Amino acid sequence: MMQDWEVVIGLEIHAQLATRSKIFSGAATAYGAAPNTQACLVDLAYPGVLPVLNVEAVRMAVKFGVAIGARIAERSIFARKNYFYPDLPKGYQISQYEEPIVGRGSLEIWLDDGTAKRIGITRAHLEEDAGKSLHEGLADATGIDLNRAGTPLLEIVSEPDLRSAKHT
Amino acid sequence: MSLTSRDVEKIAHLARLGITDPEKPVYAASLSKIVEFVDQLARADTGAVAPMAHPLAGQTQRLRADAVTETDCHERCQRDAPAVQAGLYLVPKVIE
Amino acid sequence: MSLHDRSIAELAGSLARGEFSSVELTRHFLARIDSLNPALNALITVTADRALADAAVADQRRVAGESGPLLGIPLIHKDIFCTDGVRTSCGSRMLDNFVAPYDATVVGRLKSAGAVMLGKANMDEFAMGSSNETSFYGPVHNPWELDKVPGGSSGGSAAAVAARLAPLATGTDTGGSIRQPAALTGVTGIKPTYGRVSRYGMIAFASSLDQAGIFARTAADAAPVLAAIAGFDPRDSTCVDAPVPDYVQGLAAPLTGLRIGLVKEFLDGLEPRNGALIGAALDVFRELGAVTTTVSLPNLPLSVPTYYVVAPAECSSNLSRFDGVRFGYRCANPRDITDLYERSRGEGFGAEVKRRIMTGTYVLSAGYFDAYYLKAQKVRQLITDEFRAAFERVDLLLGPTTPTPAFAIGAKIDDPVTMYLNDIYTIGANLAGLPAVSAPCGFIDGLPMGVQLIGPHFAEGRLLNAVHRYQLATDWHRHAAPGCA
Repeated sequence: MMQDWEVVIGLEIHAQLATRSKIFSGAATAYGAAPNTQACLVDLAYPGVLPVLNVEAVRMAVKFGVAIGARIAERSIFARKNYFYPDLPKGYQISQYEEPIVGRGSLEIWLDDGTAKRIGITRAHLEEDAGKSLHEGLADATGIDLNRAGTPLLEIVSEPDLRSAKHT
Repeated sequence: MSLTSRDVEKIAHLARLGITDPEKPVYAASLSKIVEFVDQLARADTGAVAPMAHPLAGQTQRLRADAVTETDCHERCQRDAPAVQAGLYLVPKVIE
Repeated sequence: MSLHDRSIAELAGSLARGEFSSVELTRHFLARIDSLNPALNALITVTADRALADAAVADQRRVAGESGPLLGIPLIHKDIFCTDGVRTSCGSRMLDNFVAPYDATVVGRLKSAGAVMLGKANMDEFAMGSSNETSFYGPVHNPWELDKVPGGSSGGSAAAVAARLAPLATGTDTGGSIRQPAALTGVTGIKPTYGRVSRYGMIAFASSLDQAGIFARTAADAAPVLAAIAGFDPRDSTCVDAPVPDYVQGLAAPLTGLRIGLVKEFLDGLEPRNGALIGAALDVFRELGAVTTTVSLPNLPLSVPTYYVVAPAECSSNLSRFDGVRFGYRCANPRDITDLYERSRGEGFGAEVKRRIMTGTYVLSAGYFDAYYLKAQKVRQLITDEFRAAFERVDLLLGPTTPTPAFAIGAKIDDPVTMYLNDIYTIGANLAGLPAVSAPCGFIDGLPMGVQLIGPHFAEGRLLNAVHRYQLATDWHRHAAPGCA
């Protein structure tokens, strides 16, 4: 019965960018710190604070775009994705919707039989990560750690060009 | 364009605002008046005009060097927080 | 002349000559606050001990050889500016228990200049209002007539300067919240160009419209304050990196040949006595050498509905961070996370704030986004383009600041749209990001009225110069409210 069905896969990958500081603040991104010790006022969404964009996150996104042969947008837009969740301190995520920084590109993968397969990339854009919600060990409560909030992410969207789990 | 109490419920839920039952028709009435007032924008001939997000036409995006400039502030920040334990901000258990 | 009647320059001169100390000056104003504020409710927090300590520091800095136009000068900050270690309520129960852990850039710069903070001014809740009646801490009363509003949202700052509780106060202006209360209380209020002054630490209402500004009795008083707060701030990406002119130096220039445009659309339906005051102001500018003409901005009447789509949309997002999780008001015994959010926000915010959040949520929601938010952004561009075209023909635009003098507390609060129309003359400048100022220009029924000047981007110097020359030729700004002289 499985022969009647074709496997078609597209991927949406959130890649954490290895910057020293967060995408919109000067707090550290190093992994493993004690809860909320790497969350500054901007990451905690205090009243009155403002985001300032990390040049290295932009550079890394552009490098990726060049590597996949994509058009790099000279003008791209950051937009707010508004929703409520306790690990999203501003009540919105700064992301990109229209006019992402990286446009259409592609990359080649090598299959088991030695042939190359071209995977299309639809777009890639910059956005910030949310914090972490911890449920274990707390009676009737969830604990929020915002160390991860504001870590730069590159969201990479592939075309539905993958035909097997092996391609991922 | 008239908004109903049901509309108020939906909007209030999106905005996570607790509105009591007696308040719903009151907000429905005032929101209806506001929406009716702003409906006049439909008359404007905006043809090929691009939407204006902010008044800083011609400015380029400011970029910040990738350096760690902020230090741990959790003691000060959590001093007045509503509920904290082991450095974590506590909220009622969120069921996934 | 009593201490509270003197200009900032006169006070600075006296301090420099050692005629009195900053501590004595601060005590004088603190005593006035004690005596006059109960009837006005202009201040939410009085920081007496801190003020005296800061004044002592200013005196020491002077002994150490420092000088400066604001060293040791008392001021009041609108309670929208974060002040390190001091409650910053934004006029809301949501932040009644919030002690800011940092200073706003505006606050920090004035502190560096040696200004002494007397307290935090009352305001409409989260800067949403035109009458200072939506504050959690009760309405502010206009010093001219206590049963009248002072205007809003910076009503406390305006009333404080009008009542001479301080020679200067900071404010913010998103749709007219500095200029309108300045007009209704008989003081001078300036809103700089969007991007001229840092918004870091200024609790956000509508991010593309908000701007920090100043209340003082005159342009001459406001000039050194603007000089202190204007300029690039790396913490605010919307703060423009452009040189700050010498606003004080520029005050005295003659106005010969200054081209002033009277806005035709402002005259439509203008109350005759208001029109007469504006006409008289225009005459003064002509006598000072200005060349006047009429200018048409046909889409300007759409500025109020445009604003009441854009501003609520932006505020609905900006206020999402107030959720009872990390700071501010949290409801008692939340049942679950949804209940935590809904009751913290339902109980923490007042009615006007909730109304605007819901308006904003509605215009951004699926199915309505294009018709309302996107449409409003396009109309905003049309209005901005019209201003730009006008400034190719004139140097400044002139018109009224408010449609009427101060109205009675309670008179308009039940009808939001009627209240919104109070901003009819001021909103255009916010949409286009232009600098604008209101100066006292006369009285209607014993209540102050203002004349408004609007300039192209970064024309603050020209605006202050024009108002200064006007204030040398008139004395409206010298009138004091009864009991406040």
